Amino acid sequence: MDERTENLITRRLDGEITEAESLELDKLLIRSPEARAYLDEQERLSRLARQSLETAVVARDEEKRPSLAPAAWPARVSRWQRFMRSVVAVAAVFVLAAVVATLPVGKSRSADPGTLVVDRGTGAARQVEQPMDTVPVSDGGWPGLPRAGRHQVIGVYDDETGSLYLLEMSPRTDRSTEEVRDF
Amino acid sequence: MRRPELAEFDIDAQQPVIEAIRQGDSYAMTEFVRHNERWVRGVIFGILGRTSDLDDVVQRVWIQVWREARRLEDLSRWRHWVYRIARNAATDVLRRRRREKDAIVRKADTPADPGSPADARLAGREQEQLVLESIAALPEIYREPFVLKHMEDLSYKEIGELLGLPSDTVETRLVRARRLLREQLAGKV
Repeated sequence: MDERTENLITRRLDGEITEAESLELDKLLIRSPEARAYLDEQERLSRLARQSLETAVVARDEEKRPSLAPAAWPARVSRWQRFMRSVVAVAAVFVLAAVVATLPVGKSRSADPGTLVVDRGTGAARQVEQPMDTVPVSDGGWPGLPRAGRHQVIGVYDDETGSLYLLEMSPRTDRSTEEVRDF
Repeated sequence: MRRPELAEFDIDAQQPVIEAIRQGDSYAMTEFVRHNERWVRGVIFGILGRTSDLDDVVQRVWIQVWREARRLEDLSRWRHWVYRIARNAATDVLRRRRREKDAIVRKADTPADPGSPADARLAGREQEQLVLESIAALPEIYREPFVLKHMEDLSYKEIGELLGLPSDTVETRLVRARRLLREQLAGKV
């Protein structure tokens, strides 16, 4: 069978044949049993091909349908939204870092001025600025202290227990008393 | 007889749907998928030559269409745009498979048992399987237009637009695809 006949048969099968070509093919088919057999065979193969593809490729459509619900489509994020999200994320990191930096951690906790800070572990002590203050003690002051007059008071802050020991030096009695205040 | 071009009405009918998708209408997207799933599956099968991975690739294509619809500038080219997405997605899978030297045995590659029962229904299935194997075995340049033709009955012009080929070339490839198919299936179906 010649190429022209093969092309015309293909065009007919594909619905692309013109009226003139269709007439030409009909004449060829009348004359050629081989062409008729070829057309029949190709028609059958086309039908089988459609069925095969339908079964193997398209039939799964139905199984996929549930995933095609509108809710299945992921939210679209524009470039602008993506940019804003990045900015917010970076800002959040900075804020978090700032908050963490202000938190008291371990022995960085500061004591009040005039306080002697003692580290029990090493036995070392350091005095916070403005040591040895003179404070007025009025009536109703610390229990066990002289009722009135000016006294020298220092605080000793125990880092481990978080307790502040107030040591009072009385110039008149030359003795000290202490009071413990917990933070 | 030559039928009217699908492009004359079918493709344009999808343009408002595409526009709605661009606006973020997920219902339009669902409708779009229903309307176009057949030929997109055909394109992917035409490239992969097998049905495994088909569902995954199709799903990936639709998600990409949904996400990138706003980038489509010329609405009249929507079909070509979807085709490119489908083709790229399928090609990616092929490339990955080649890299991984995927040894999965294709269902379509399973040879039919010549001594199978004479049950007519089974014989029909076997025939379909054989034909599918033969289609899968066609070179990609022939398989792709052949699948598009037989799944969606697209015209030569439409297939040519999708594949970026002149109509004459599409016709030639279809003639050769049929010839090869006939040779492969000679005496089997």
